Amino acid sequence: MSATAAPRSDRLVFAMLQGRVFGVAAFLVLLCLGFGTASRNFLTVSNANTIALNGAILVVVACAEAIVVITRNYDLSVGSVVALSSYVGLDVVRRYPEAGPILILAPVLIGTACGAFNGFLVAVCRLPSVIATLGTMSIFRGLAFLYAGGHQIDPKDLPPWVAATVGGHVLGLSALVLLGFAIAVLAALGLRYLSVGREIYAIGSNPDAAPFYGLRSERISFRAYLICGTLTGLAGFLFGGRVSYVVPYLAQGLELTALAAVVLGGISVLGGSGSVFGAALGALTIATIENGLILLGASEFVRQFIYGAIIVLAVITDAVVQQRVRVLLKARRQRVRAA
Amino acid sequence: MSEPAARLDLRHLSKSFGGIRALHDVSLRVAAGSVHALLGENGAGKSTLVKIATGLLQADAGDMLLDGAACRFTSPMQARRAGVVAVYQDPKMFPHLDVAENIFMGQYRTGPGGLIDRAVMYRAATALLRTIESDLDPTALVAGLSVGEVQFVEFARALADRADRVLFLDEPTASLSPAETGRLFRVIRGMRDAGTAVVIISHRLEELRDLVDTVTVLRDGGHVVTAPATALSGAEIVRAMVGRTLSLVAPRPAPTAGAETRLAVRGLTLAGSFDDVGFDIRAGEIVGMFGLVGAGRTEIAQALFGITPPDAGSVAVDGRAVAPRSPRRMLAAGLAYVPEDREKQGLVPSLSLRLNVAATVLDRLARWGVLRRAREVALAVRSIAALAIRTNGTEAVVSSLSGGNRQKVVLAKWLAIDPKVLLLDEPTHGIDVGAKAQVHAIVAGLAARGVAVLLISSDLPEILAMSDRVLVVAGGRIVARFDADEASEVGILTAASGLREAA
Amino acid sequence: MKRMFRGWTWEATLAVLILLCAAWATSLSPFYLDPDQILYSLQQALAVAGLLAGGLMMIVIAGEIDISLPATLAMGTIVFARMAEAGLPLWLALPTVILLGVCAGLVNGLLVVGFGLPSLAVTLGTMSAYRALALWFGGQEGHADFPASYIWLGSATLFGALPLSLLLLAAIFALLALVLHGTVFGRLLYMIGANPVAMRFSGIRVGAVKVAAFAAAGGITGLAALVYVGQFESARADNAGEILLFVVAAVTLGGIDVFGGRGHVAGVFLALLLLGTIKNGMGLANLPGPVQTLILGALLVGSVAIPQLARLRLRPRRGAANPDAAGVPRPAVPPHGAREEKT
Repeated sequence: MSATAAPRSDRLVFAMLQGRVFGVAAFLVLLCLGFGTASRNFLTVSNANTIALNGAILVVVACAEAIVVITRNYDLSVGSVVALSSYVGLDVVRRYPEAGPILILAPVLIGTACGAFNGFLVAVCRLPSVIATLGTMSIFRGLAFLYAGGHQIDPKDLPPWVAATVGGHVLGLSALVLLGFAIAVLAALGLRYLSVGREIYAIGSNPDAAPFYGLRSERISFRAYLICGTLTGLAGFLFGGRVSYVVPYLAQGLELTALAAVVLGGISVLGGSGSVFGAALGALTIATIENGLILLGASEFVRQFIYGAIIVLAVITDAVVQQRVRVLLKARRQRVRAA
Repeated sequence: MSEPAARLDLRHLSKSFGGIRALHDVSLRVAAGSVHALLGENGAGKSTLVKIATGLLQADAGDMLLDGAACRFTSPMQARRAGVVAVYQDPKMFPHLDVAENIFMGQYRTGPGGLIDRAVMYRAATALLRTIESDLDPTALVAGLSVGEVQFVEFARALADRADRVLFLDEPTASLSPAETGRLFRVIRGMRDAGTAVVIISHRLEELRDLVDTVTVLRDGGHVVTAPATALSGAEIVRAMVGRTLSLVAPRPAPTAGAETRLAVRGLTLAGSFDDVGFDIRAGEIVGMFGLVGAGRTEIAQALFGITPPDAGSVAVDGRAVAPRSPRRMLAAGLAYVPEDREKQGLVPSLSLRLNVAATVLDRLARWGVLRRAREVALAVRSIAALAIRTNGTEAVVSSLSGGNRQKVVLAKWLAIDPKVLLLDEPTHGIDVGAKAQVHAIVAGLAARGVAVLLISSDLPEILAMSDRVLVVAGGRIVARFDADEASEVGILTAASGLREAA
Repeated sequence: MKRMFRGWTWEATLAVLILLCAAWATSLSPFYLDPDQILYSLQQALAVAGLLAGGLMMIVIAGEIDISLPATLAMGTIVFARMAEAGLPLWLALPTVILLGVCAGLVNGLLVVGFGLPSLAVTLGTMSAYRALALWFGGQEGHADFPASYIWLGSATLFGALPLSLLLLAAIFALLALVLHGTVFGRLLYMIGANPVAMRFSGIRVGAVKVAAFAAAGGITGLAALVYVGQFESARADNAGEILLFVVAAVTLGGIDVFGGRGHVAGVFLALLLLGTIKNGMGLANLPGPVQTLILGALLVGSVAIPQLARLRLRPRRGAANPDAAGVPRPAVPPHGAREEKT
């Protein structure tokens, strides 16, 4: 008796557990069609470019957040990590212009350090991740502010390689977009082909089973936060490279859009399921929504409301799907028993 | 003639929990390349033995030899690496990952750059599954598998870990279809022929008849008999399992004849758990419900109490029909349910005795929603006295009390509502002998006052001593009903095991 | 009498810390010890946030969390402002705003209970939605110019110095103490937070109690909106953004167990006073806003991490399974993240 013997409805639901990416993609397509008919300016190449550019950074942050959410945790500090890594990292870059692109490690490693601190609080001190990252959210931003000391960084003071990385083009495509795409692909590949990636899904899927497989949950959660911080640090670099002035107040509220992208993309807040491609698509969808709403002249309120509605609806859908799967599984067991 | 060293030699193992002796001086020799059945009632010590052998528990006394070499496992992973592993009824897996990923979790074969070689993984998984006659698709999500299929994945995992020296199987056929059972037996024979020592814990005596080479019976934490399977008949085995020397309680006075029916259950059905369950309990009667693990007794009780509402059936309390849709409803109708899982379902262990006892009657104790501490204390004090709870006072935190006293707190909580019907689910499980006797006395006293009692228990002497009638549940159905005078341990256990009454 | 003081170590520690911080603040500036100054500063810091902390406390004790309260606050201030502009009398506006808060809480509670959703995810969503509604009602601009009756609650003082809003805070906390420690509802909150399964098995309607907790917190937040308008004489859709950290910190610092089931009202009240004193001191030391937020964040994290670490060090690593386990093997180390579903 194998899974291929399951009736059509079973397969549909199991596909939903793993294949929600397709749902998001479909939603995105519908969205584009909708905006396209509502506004003439939407379906243009330059507009698509704008969406892609705006979305690229969110894609990176969404991948980072997704990795943490898969382990049944949250990271509410991503906005602050972006601010801290952006300011301090770019300040380092500014001070040593001769060092060259290797200094991209500055913001990235700052992000890693932040991730390590989050990981320490959640994995070692066993704090609930909400509390921990709510606290680090303000700690990191405060540190950024202290470091900045009231100043700001003018992008003109940064060495040219920064602008080349963030604003440049490779083979006609924006480097930023390519980078975002590359990160999403790398994250997806890592989660699928690295042991730590499978372990991340494992402890999100069933934390109780971990000890029986010799898995140390704390270590894996810590690594998830570490990866998240590293990616967020990179996002900080990209963010800082794109704004007119780098200030410690950057990226406030980024955690909200990141989480919205993640749940929209099919990552379950109950852990263990979803793919980073979904999160990336979710990020693109959010960027599309923003763009479309601006083009339509919709008010700020509509945007905020939509984020809220997306999160609530996505989480409800996830709960309903998981419930449906449970019911179907129970029915399946009875069929077997009766056989 | 010198005997070859047994594959697994457990010598004089003893283990106690608090005041309860789970194992006492039990020795077991399992030969390589054999199938060994480990039999005994619930509570005989079988699981404790397996847990010690696989590193989940440490014995208080005794030692272990694996292929003649002394060993002592302090964790299941350690035992697994030595080749000793247990497969339980509901193995914990990662449902969102696929079969192959679950099998090889923690030891993925990596290629260059540390990347998992998935092709190799799936091939290896398929090969492993084939050796256990399973055609499961290794890319299938575990979430979609039936319980039997998950067990096969667990076997494959044991094989992947090369844990093929000693394999313990705990009730392996409980959730399998007949086809899967046949396949499993073929696999077991294959493993035996390959040299693995397979130990099966099961109650399905008839089923195992052709499979098993040796039989060991445990009773009450001690060893009773070990013999080749051909040397013992089913009846002899049953007789070896029962007949414990502990006698717990003085015989009860017979209930008053002609008492009215307090609980009437008809046609209770819950798909996948139990089917067409019906019985009556009269005032002052204690009806015992016996069954093996997985028979469905707890499910029946929890459905009666409205925790998992049944699909069909009717319940009437004192003649009035009540739909068991929620615990609140059933409580209002006069039912009380003392759950099997004391810590999670019966108590709030971090809170005090007083708070726990008052939990079911808060509205009654309060005036217009305001708590009356004096009344709560009075209730707690009354309960402590009536049930002889050993405690430092009404404010003692429940987690600091012993098992028996904790159970009394749960009982006190339910007695506070003055129930008409009392559903007890394994009420004396994990309690020392003295407290057991006290609980029995309390229950008997309640019955004498007209309460209708359903006593779910795996403890045969307890059932026989306390019950006026006995219902035997197997596979979600009531398969036998005995009156007190016609019930015997052998008869009950035979019915529960699905055996026909032996000569 | 002895029983009263046993188990009050946390609160006692807070009291000592308050005195220490007051001493530190005095060392920063002799102006600190002026009673008017203290009262004014406490009013600024606590009058609104304290009410929210009181509401959140109930929800956390029951084992859930609600981060949408500041957004509900914003919504309430806007609605209040609109009603003032429309010339509606106070006796109409007041209950309307409180009712609005209750409804916001009800939505949260019903979503969490009805769908069995994790409360963080739900309130993250409703936080945005409520803020959006505030924007919709009030537009982007701020509102000012309120009639005297509207701002009375937030700005009136008794005897010229004691702010009415602080009295209100104390009164609400007294009421909360009565409810949490003296009523059936309060008792149920604690027990549900400690073990919701056992309470369901005891015939308690766990879902209804949780929804009530969310609704009550929403109502208190509505009241806080009224105080806010009076205190700051303004209403904007985006105000009270930083208040969440303060409120959560007050709850955790107050000794409320973030996993539910434990903590005392007095603790939160003392924590509020402590945080208020610290804020006062930080203001006297001229620490900039984000630095103050940093310290608040550190306090939040520290107040939970330090007791946790102490608990983990003291508890020996378990190597064997719990003998009470009914036949199924249990892991030796408590699984991490298993609790996350609720928060």
